[in-house]
Amino acid sequence: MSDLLSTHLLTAGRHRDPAALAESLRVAVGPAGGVIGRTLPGAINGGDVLLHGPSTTVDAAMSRERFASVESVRYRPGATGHRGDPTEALVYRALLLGIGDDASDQARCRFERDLLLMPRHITSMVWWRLSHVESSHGPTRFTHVWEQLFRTREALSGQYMNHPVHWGLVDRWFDPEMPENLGIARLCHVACDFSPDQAPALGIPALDVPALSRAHSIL
Amino acid sequence: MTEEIDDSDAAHPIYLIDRIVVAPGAGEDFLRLYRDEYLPKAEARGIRVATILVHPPLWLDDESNTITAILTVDDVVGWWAAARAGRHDSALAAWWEGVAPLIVDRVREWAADGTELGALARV
Repeated sequence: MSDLLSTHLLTAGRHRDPAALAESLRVAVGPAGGVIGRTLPGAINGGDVLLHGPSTTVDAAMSRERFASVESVRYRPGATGHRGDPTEALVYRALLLGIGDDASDQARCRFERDLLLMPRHITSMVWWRLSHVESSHGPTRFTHVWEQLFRTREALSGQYMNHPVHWGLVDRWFDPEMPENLGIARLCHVACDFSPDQAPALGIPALDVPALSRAHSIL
Repeated sequence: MTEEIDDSDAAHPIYLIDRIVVAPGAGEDFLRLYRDEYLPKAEARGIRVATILVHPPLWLDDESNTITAILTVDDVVGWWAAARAGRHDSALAAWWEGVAPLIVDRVREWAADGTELGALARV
């Protein structure tokens, strides 16, 4: 069974500098131990610092830190794929969402299928992973984590948001006015800067970069 | 010789299609509520009415009419503005719940002019 992963969204609080918190976590986890960074502008419920990596590594580092609050998910890696060399990416992004209890299994499957269509159309997305949450901590019971690497910050705010596959196909599952919406009352949309030395924390092996993208089924 | 038109700066309207199968005899009531209550709030979010069609083109008492409303926003910027405003307005979903007894089935889709799909994807 795959190693358990954790994503923590930390709010530093009034008495802790977010940059110092991120740097302290970076030192504790080590250069390849996790994806750690200040939350980029535009986040929704993203906190101040994003910390992601193997649970055994990042949970221990977090437990030694001072901060005001944290929202967390733990999960095993789901469907993943990449395009070109993911280590050329500059931005890591995660979407945490919780599907309502009333959603049918069929709707969940169609939603996951639609999400996994996005990389085919959004060429600036160079790595992606859709996973099922095993446990979460915070105000929302999350069910899914949708992670991506983008070539640039502008790719996330531009191509990803503005491509028809996003607003014309995928968004319907989130829109409370759509009959098929999944009852996603709250989500966390968060991104941070990414550097190649963090790739192992995403399970991206060094120097193993096939020319063509590949994807594996989550179901 | 062909000339490629650079339409990257042109606005590409996006269409919202509401297709509502109303309960037998409820067509007029639903359309009145849709026009009087729903559309003003939609217009406040930048969503305008293109046309509203009724099939068959007479009100039925014992069978369902199908009402197809075609609404539009100027472009993807307008789409996001409308979407963001809608996500923070719980009254919208509540409105649909309120008229649910008048509805047998409902489909909502976003669509675009078939000649503009390439331009919309160049983002």
